[in-house]
Amino acid sequence: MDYQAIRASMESPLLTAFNNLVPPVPVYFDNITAVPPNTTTEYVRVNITFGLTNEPTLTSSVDNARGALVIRIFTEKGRGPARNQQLITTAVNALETINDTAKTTTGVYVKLGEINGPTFSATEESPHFMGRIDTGYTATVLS
Amino acid sequence: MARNGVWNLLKELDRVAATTVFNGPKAAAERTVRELQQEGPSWTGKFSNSWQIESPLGASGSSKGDGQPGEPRPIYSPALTGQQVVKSILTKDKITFTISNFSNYVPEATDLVESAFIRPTPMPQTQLGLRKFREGDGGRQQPSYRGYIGGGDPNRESSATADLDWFATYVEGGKLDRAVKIEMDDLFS
Repeated sequence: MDYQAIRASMESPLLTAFNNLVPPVPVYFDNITAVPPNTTTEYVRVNITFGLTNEPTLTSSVDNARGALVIRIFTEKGRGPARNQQLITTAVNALETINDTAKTTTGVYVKLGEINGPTFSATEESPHFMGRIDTGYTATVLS
Repeated sequence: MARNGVWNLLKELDRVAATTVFNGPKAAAERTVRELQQEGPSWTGKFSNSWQIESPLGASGSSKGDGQPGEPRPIYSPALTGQQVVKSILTKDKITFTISNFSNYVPEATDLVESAFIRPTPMPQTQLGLRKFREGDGGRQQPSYRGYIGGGDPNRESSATADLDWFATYVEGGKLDRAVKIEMDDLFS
């Protein structure tokens, strides 16, 4: 099982998508806390979790894992949802790219499930307006 | 077999089938709640004792936690007779149990919204919480998602008793599917 390869297969397309925006939007992954606190700077957080590994009935392969992919978009509060939704669209497009990637004989093959959201929230304390989507994934490590 | 005998047998088969159709999802819902209690946060225990199962039969098949502190207490829907089930589900084309949590802090507890978190007590009050207790590197960023610990004031502390996105992981990472499968398989084994 190659958890890092599974993680990379989802993180890389998202990082590329947000880096390609003008100006680029910073993306923070798990175990990175260097998020700009209490500023209006927009940014993205991507969290990948692992659920079941090697679930025997999932496929004929035993080298598989399931989990959740959660994307949170932070944009300036009090300026409407448009910018947040633009960035969510970027994320969803990246997820669709992952799903459209054909299965090969090596590497990691990832299929994403339905996307929940987006849902939006804002709190009094935070300078940000938050958009959130999440989806489940199934990853198979191919030899 | 006499005509009445066949009729009674068919009625009985109907009742068994209906009870099976009802009891499988019921058991799956109960298992799901037990697992959610273990996966989710537990500090005072109020959140994990605030799950409820709503049955398609209404109040007679539903049950809920007491919302009180303490270790997670499993909840079980009342057992129903085959006759009750048959009467109630004959008019339905699907059997849906709804699992929800009636705590006031569901969005915070499930990492859906940010909040300013303050420990109600210095340490978790449940054994489950103590077992899952983990501390961050310094305080939290304020506000923050429940599962994001550390990254804030280095002179402060932060902690959590469930992983970030535990709920999304349970639902989408295969454990919910497994709970349903185990109970449905048990029913036919």
